[in-house]
Amino acid sequence: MAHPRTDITDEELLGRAGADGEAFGRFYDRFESQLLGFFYRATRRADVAADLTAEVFASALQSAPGFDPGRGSARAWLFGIARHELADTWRRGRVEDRARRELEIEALVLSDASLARIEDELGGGGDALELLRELPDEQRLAIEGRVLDDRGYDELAASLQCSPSVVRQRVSRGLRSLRARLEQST
Amino acid sequence: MSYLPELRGALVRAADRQTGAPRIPGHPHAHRSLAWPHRVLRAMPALVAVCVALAIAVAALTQLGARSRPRVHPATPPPSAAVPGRRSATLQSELSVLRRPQRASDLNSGQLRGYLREPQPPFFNQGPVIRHLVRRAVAAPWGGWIYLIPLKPPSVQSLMRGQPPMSRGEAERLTRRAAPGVAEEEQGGASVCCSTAAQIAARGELSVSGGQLPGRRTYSHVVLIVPDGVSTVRFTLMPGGGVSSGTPSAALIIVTARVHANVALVQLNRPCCTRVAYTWYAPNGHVIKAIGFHPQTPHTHSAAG
Repeated sequence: MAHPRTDITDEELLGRAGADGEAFGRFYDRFESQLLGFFYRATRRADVAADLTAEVFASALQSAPGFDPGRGSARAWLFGIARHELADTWRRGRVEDRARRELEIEALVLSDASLARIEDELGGGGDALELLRELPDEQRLAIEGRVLDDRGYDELAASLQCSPSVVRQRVSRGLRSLRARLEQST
Repeated sequence: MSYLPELRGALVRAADRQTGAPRIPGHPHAHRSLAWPHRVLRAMPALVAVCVALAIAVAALTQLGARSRPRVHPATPPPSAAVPGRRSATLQSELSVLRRPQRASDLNSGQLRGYLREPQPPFFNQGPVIRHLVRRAVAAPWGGWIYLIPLKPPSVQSLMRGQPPMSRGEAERLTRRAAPGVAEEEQGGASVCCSTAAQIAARGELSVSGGQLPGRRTYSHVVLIVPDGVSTVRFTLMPGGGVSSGTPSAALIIVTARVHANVALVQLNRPCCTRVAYTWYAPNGHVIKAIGFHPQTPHTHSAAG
């Protein structure tokens, strides 16, 4: 009897999504909390974070056939969609539901318990986020981009107008500084 | 434990709908294809033979049609010359008709049934139909419907196995910049294939066909698929001759057609045309783009739009 593989990569799961819905379900399992956390940190609203997460996964499902593992990891690809969706949401002032409508995905009904759980479990890191604001701007921006938003060093270097090695250095120094401050505060 | 289990379930169901492989009740991980009855399996060799024969016939007809049908593509750029900056555009981002939910009537058509059943691509050197994006766009004034049939690009392997077979190098070169394209299908077999999203944005997809009805009455049909934002199209049609042949501009036919579901249609009760130019207008009347030859002083000729 064949046993399901547990070592299947994110990219393989995405590649199979076109032929097997459950593969996309497993892909969802791997990134649900990361995406919810990403959006919750950005919006500080659990309902908006859930709405954005739903739209991003629906967009990912639509775009999965075009995913090219040669151009980057599935995680980077998914967070690319997420950043794009977040930027669009800021611009429009509302969360888009285009992908969900096209896929005929029913509207998400959120219970108070679900929302409270997102706030409790994914809103953590408050202390670290407070301390992050105290870092010099150049280190804070580098950490926010790299650690919270999962952006690549090359992309960050372009937006911060410095070289990728400088971004690495800022992230490294900033994290070291954060660690030290957290240890002092506990 | 999932934070949003309802969302997970809805996504898995949507993914299954996209694959077109509904699950069998009681077997949540089994696809229907695994449970085909034995009689279907026994009939498989005959089915495969019929499908191969159909595919060869369609390819041959498509090639013959391409030679005989008077198609006009003004200033058609090659795929590699697509508009810069629009390479990432998708068919759905350009054509709102593809973004509306699919209805049963989009697929339930004798006109399309053959395409949707065939295991082989219905159009020469293209990939398979993207079934969930097929849309019945508008009713044609001459009868039947205009369908938009998106297709995947061909794979290297399919081109190497095609008729005639290509070398790997040639197939790889062709597929390097390949993107999904949309075919336009009308009742009676007139069809054009396959403009990519970038090409739709740059010039639309034009089909001109015509013939003679019983009683020697000639007719022409012009169909243009346009991107979102175009509300009206003004066609300038040049019957016979050509720009360089000294055809008087009075012979030009100017017709304006409104766009419905990304499609503009013109029907003429006369033969048409050796050259076609068209201008796209926004809903506010502003010119978006003029495509094709540009006659200096065209005179309007009566025509049905």
